[in-house]
Amino acid sequence: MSLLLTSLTAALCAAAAPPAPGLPSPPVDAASLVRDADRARGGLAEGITWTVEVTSTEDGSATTTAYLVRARGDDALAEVTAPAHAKGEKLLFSGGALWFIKPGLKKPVAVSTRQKLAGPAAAGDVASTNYARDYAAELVGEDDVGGAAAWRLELKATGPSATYDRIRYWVAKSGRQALKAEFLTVGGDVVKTATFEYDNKLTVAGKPLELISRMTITDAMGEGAVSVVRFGAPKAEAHPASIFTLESAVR
Amino acid sequence: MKHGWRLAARNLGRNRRRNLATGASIALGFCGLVLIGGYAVRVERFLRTNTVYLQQVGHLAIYRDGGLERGVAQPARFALSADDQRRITSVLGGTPEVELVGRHLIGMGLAGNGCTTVPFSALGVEPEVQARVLAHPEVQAASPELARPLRGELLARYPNVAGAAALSAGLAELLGKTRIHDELAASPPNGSAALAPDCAVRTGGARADVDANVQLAALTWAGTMSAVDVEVVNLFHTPLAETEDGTLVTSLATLQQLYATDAVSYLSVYLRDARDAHRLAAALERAIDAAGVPVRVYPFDDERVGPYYAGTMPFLTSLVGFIGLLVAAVVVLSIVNAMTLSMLERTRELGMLRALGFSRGQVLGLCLREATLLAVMAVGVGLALALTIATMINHSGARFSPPGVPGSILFLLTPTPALCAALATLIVPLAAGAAWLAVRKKTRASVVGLLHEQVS
Amino acid sequence: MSEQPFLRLDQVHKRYRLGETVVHALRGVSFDLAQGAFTAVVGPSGSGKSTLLHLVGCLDEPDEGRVLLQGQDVARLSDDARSRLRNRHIGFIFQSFNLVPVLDVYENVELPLLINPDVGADERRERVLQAVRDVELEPQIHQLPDKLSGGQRQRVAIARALVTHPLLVVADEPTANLDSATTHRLIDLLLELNDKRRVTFLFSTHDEKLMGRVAHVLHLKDGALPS
Ligand SMILES: Nc1ncnc2c1ncn2[C@@H]1O[C@H](COP(=O)(O)OP(=O)(O)O)[C@@H](O)[C@H]1O
Ligand SMILES: [Mg+2]
Repeated sequence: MSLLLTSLTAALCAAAAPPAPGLPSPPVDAASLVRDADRARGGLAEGITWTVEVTSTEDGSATTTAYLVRARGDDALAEVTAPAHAKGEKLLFSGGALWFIKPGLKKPVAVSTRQKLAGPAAAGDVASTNYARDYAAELVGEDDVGGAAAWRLELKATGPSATYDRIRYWVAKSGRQALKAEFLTVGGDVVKTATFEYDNKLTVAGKPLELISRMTITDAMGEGAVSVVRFGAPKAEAHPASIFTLESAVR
Repeated sequence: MKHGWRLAARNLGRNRRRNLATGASIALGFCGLVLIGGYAVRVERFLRTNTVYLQQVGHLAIYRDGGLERGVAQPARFALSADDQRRITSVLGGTPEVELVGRHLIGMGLAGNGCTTVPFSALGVEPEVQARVLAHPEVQAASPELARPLRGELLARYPNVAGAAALSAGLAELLGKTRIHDELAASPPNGSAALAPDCAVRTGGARADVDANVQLAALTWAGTMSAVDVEVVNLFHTPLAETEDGTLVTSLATLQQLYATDAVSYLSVYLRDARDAHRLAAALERAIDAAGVPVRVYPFDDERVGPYYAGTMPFLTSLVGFIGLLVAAVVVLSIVNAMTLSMLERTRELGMLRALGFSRGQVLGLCLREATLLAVMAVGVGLALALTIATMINHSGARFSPPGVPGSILFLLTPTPALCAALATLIVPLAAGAAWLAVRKKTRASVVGLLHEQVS
Repeated sequence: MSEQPFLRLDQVHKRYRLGETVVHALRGVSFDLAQGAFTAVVGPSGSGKSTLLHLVGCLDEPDEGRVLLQGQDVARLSDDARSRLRNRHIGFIFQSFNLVPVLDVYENVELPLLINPDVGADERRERVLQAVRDVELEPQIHQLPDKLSGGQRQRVAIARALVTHPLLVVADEPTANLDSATTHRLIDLLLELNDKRRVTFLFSTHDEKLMGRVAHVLHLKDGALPS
């Protein structure tokens, strides 16, 4: 059940720093590959507004929650638009912390990515990371992922905000988009796998960009619950930093 | 041989000093056993009360089959629905041994004060049932100090406070909730909590004590984010140090709202007599299964529901058993020694008795009567001594912390009549057995051999 | 059957094993005793008197030969049956009195009757008082043995041996620990009881002076009866 939150935060937090300009780089630079992939997953320094719909299927029953997401750089604000009873609830991802804000609740609740919200699986953390910031990437090989040639990267945690010790990450050679990720425990077991699709188009800073449209997360442990995250209606929007503060979010 | 006892009594008067020494060692041994046993009885009762009543496991905990193991991971699938609860309660209603039934929800999540959050593990209770359980005579007898909150009153005393909750002292401390509802009502602090506290400035919730509310966030059983406000009305110590920093108790209704369900995790069943637990566990399991709810019924000493009880009892039993064995060994050795010496002195007399027509069995019987008589008298003295010491200790007001318990309870020794009787029926035959060991060889010897034994 | 003697020893041998060495204490002893006989076994120390008396008193079994009491081979009885036989029919008097020090005269005399369920409380009391009277110890009846003289103690032992109304009384050097005046009074008492009660007496002594007082003497020498 933690998948839902997981997938949402994944969507929220895939922010990336802009690619390093200028210097000619070697044909395949792992770090810049990860930065480009982060960007295609929605981590835009320029700012974006779109809809994100998370459908979790567990024990045969599906739950869908829809959000209107505003993001810029490392910050994101997601507001529930459906179902009706949860309308108005907000998730604010700011400064490395995740806040849950509910109308009527006396105070917002901070959900740090390192805390378990519920259940045995870590929540709010599978992809709540800026990979380029949190991991050191190394190119370890090439694979074919669903008919597309991809680099296989091995991501190793470098900072305390990284949730996993290791991520196995496949980035397409053409388009430099992440195709697949495997999240590993310290022991090297696969906890979750994620696959990504890129059918959204957006013009950012005058350039066309193929953006993530769907992310499917499968729980490798337990009952094999599946979450599908659909991204839609992307709009480039340079949000002011003030909307990502708690003061404005609780209002 | 009805005159055997008289003869035995006379013979006891024979070597007064030695028999006094032997009697004293039996008396002290028995006294020691009674006191250790009294301690064990006290601790067992404390552990049981703690598990059954304070932790509200009940004498029997009823879970859906698989619920104990997988209820946390998959609560929606392994909880007891409202309909299940009705079926189970109707079975329990027809069971006269059942005194009280509680419904409980357990769940985890994050507790926040507006700045920081701390993981919690919560138990939902029905406040009225909880109040009755904690006021139970068993609790009042075994550990009344642990049934009272450290500060504040039980949930049932706050029917008008929405989301009244009890926090473990450690959790309250982590959340900065140093002042509870009653204390804030008595002296409201100046200034009110900001809607969104500036956590960067006042780190660690330094001003979290301006109110007593705490936000609980969790995923509902359907998997969506949820949160409720609760109001801290009392603080308590958990029975285990490990849970002290993250336990809270609130009403079943509040937790059901948080997890968006009307189901419960388990039912706690309180019996009039703890000794019925095992028998009823099996019987109720069948009856409830037959009523259409596949359940498992766990007695309180099952390590899966009462790990504290089940984990501590073997330690206690082996400790007490070990000391008991030592004491028993001392008693046996002293009797063997005394009887061996006494038989050595009386070898020729034994031969004479045999010559007069006493059979081997009759001679042995005489010696066993002697040891039995000595043991019975010593047990009487030892009992008086033990009761005196126990009374003195119980009036001294000494306290102790049972293993793993943050608080302390009164150090009481409660040697029950049943315990004393059991120990007496253990030690008297033990004394007789020791005498048998010492005398057996003598009675087997030939009459002539006995008569001719040279005695210095 | 009328010629069956009260007691018959038939080629009785008894050996004691002491580590490597074997002591041949009795070497083919045979004799008969008639009911009511008063017989002394005389011989030097180590001649086998005690051994012989133990066999006669059913305290021990012969290695060879038979001990027949009223025609019954004693060796064939179980230990319990022999105990019962001793209790009902045989009285013992020992050289060293062997009284129970914590019991008074009355209680010491009563001792063998306590394990005989055929004797009720009233009869027991009667018999004890009679036996104490017979040995003239009524004034001392509630005294403990250590308050009594040697002769008095041996009289307690005699009363204890007779209180069961035995057929046979076996006395192993009953006078050995007594002075000669006491010894003679004791022999008088035994003779009187033998006469009054028709009890068969067999006693041992190494005191040659006593021989004159006894009609029937068995001379034991090195475990045999040379005749
Ligand atoms: N229990 C015994 N073990 C070994 N030898 C014994 C035992 N009793 C007697 N004897 C030996 O048997 C012989 C006869 O002894 P005993 O019958 O006591 O003679 P008495 O009574 O005439 O002195 C002696 O040599 C004695 O040492
Ligand atoms: Mg002798």
